[in-house]
Amino acid sequence: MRQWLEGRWRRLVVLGAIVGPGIITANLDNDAGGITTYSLAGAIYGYRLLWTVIPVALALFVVQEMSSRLGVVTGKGLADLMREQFGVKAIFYLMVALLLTNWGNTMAEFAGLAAALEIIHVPRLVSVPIGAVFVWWLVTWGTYRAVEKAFLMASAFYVAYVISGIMAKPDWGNVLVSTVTPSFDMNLPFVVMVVGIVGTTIAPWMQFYQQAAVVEKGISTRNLREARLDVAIGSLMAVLVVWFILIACGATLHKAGIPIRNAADAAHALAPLAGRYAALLFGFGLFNASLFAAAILPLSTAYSVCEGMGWERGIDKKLQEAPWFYGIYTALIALGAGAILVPGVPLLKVLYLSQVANGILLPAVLLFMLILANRRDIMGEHVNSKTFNVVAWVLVGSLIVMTLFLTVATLLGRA
Amino acid sequence: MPRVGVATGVPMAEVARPRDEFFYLSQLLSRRVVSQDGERVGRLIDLGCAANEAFPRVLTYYVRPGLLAPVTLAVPAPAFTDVPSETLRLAVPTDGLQTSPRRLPEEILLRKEILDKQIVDTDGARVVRVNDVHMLRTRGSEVRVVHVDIGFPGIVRRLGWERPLDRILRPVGLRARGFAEERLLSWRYVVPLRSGSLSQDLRLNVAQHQLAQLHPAELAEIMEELDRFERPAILDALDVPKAAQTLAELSPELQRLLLEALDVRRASVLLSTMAPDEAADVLEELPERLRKRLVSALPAADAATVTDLLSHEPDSAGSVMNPEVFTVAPGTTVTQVWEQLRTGPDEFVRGYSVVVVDEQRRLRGVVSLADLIRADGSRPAEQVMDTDPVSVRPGDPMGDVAELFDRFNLLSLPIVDPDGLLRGVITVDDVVSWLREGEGREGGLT
Repeated sequence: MRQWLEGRWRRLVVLGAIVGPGIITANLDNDAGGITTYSLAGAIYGYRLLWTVIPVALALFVVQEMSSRLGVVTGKGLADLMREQFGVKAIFYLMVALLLTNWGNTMAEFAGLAAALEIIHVPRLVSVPIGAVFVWWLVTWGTYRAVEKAFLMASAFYVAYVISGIMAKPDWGNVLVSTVTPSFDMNLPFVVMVVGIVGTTIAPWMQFYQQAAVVEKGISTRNLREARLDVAIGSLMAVLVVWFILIACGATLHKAGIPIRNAADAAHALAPLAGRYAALLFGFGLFNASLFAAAILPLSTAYSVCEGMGWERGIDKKLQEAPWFYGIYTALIALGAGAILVPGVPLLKVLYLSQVANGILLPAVLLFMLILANRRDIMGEHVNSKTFNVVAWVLVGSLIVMTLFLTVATLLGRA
Repeated sequence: MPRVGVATGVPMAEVARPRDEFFYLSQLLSRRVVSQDGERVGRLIDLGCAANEAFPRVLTYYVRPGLLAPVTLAVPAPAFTDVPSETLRLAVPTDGLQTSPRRLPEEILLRKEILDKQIVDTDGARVVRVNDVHMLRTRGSEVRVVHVDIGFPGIVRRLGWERPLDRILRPVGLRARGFAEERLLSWRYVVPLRSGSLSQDLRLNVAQHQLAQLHPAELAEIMEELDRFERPAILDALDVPKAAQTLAELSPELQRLLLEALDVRRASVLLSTMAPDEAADVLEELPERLRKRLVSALPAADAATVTDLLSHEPDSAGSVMNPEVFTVAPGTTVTQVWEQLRTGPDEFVRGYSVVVVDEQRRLRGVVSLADLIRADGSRPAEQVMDTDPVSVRPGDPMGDVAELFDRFNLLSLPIVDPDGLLRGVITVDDVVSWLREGEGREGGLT
């Protein structure tokens, strides 16, 4: 018995050392764009889309597990690995797409930040510049470890949505039934919404970010099981938040038939229906998510681009040593935050461009990852198993179809 | 940024002509290979070069017959007389090709192991990515690797943008190449990191020779950039003292990762090669289990010293001091001390001063190296020593020690226990390291 306990304890200690990359990445994923999409989905379709969290969780796990495993086994970041295996051309165009996509994403984060603070009457002309400077300062002057700890703690704040969801007093029986009963409509807005939920949950930068974090931690193949568990916990946490946002908005806004346009609207509208505190919590969740992602997204992008192109990188480097790294990082924050503030910047055009770039990027990244994860000369005995491959190809295949669908819809101006 | 070299190459358009000497690997790869009668053989996919040569000569050309063909053809050099032309015409009959090529033991593959990979640049002491390989065809139609291209223009060339850019820029009198300096690094300064298939000895040989030029601090910086597999490879390529110094210079986190990965015997050799205070520093930061395992693998005497050092409070003088001190008896003459310093190990001189102790190892005084140089050779140490040197106890906080160094402009200082016995010395470099570590601690967010 004692031995068994000790064994358990040791496992737990090991897990403690491994945990981090998967959980941070998955939580980061519920960013401003995500929360907006889920709020809209809940407000428009009520509980009808609750079932999507199950396939989304599975897809999230499969994709993130692959990137975690690639990092553990090769000890290299994703951009590094792609550059080595697919050459400079492939990586260059991928990185251009990543820059465009993440510029749009960064903008969305700052817009989320502005919206969240407008709930408590802070004008965006104040909140956005302060947020941008704070984020820039945090990452350039803090040490990576401290930053990581700060963000892991920030992950805990997602509990705000869980509480909001519970405060909305949903009909739990109905919620559970809806979660396991898929329902589908063959009309364009419905399909676009489903694709939107999937698309905001599985974003290309996540694979780059997570693999880099795994490599940075130096997790070895001995701890592959723990690393997998880390990803599984992260995926579950992420979809749990999605689930509760859908519930919170479904139980209140949908029932009352209140139309909303974005996540801040949702927070506002929640007040009379679920109580003032639920609304504040919802707004706080949005604030936290936006800030969290606004810090990590530009950083991760700059890191991946420099890794792929072979430029010096890392927050422990001096500005003169890593000019590209700091240049890209700073430009993303400045352009992301700036686009929100400067009147006359065609916000929608940028977001549109970003969505199209994403539509090209995600399929490419997923395909490259699948190829890499199946290469025995790279992965050794840790290549994808047959069953995993079947699931992965089906999921990746559907993700690609959905992404292309959304891209075409965007191009046709319907989404 | 250090200037690595300027291209001696010729513009693209001219390179295609067979008489030119310099060209890039990227211009050669994927070229069509035809037989003597002009029949299609396949496409060039890789070049095998002699890694043991200063400027590796191409030994084998690898040709893939079709896009999905499972076989690779190997053509021994000189297979082509017209490298680097648009189409490569074989100078040997087609039946001379090996269909199941066996790699020569000294061969390094340029595409698989160099192009797009990271290498160590021993001139700039850093890790860089290879954008292209710069090659030379000598008049004897030998083809050799001369540089690796690590600059931005290399990326532009490989993206195929050089010519379109030139076409746009020409009307305004500019050239694509003029915007960023071409940066070529001589092969002499290149240590490949991905040479998995080379024989172990050869790989070490190549790396050892070049890495020996670097300072342990530079090597440590390079190690920070490498991945989990490349780091031990670099450490293996160093001789034991250098490997030990490099390990001591690494960040605590990398020290942990490396010591976890190394086998216990090698790790203990490295740790016992370090000065005991350095070894204790390394061990102090490790997780308890790993530390215990490593300490128990150390030779008994080293293990005792290190355990003693580790038993001191963190940030106390005892945890920082070096217990191995060069001491002399009070009656030793200055000439004798000179002799011992001259013939003794380096560590003796690095202490900046000589500590004088009696038979019970009680501190009697300190003679600085400066006083020793000036002193009359026949006098005994006790007559030239400072009889009342500044000293501290093992338990004294390092903050106070640092203050003493500052106030008295010290280079070193003896550590004495309450009974007056000498326990070790702290030198100014220990103080600087300690202060810098503290800076790191305070600089963080926590």
